[in-house]
Amino acid sequence: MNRVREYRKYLNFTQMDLAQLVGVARQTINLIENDNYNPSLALCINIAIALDTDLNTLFWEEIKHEKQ
Amino acid sequence: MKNNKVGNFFIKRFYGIDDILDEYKESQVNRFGNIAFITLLSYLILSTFIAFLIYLVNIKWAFIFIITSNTLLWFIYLCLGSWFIRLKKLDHIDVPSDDVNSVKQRYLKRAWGTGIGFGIGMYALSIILAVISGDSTLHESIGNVSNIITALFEGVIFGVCTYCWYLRKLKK
Repeated sequence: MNRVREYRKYLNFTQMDLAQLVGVARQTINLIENDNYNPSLALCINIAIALDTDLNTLFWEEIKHEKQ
Repeated sequence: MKNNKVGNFFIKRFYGIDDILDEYKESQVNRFGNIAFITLLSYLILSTFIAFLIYLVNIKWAFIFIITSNTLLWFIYLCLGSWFIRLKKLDHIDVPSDDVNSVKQRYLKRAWGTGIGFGIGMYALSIILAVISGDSTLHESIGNVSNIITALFEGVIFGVCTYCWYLRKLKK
């Protein structure tokens, strides 16, 4: 799960605010927050800039390898 | 980033997307468009072959086959496209509560236009079919009251359905 929703709420943005900042529809932000859509790199960068953070913080997920 | 304003305008009008055409919507529309293109191309080859076979027996029935199958296909794609748009929520628009009435008015005007266009289209189609099939002459078909009433009825029904469809897109 990415951290877009967490950072958006931290900055008191609504989904509509963020959507207008990055130039997409509100539904798209909703899909991204719920991990139902993988955004392009350009959109990820725009979201990161709008939320005043970086790509790793927003989208990087630690992959835990199970030891067999 | 691509900035194809004319292309985007036509895509939005065709799929009924009122909001911004962003990368998610564009990718979904492209996917549907690709599948539609492949199936339509297959249909084109198959229907041409069948029409040719019918033409060998009777040219009139070949015309009727082409017109009927194309109309049927248009209707099927209309239904499939509408279902896809609803499924992917591509046509949802967020409207502030105080703007709802003005948006409804705009949709009502658009539904009127759609209904009138559909009625005229169906009227013209019924005339063409009547003339081609030899049931009546062009003059008789144009003045046929039953054709006019049917087209009027179809136009009204289509307009009302379109308006209801538009209203479903609104998300307050």
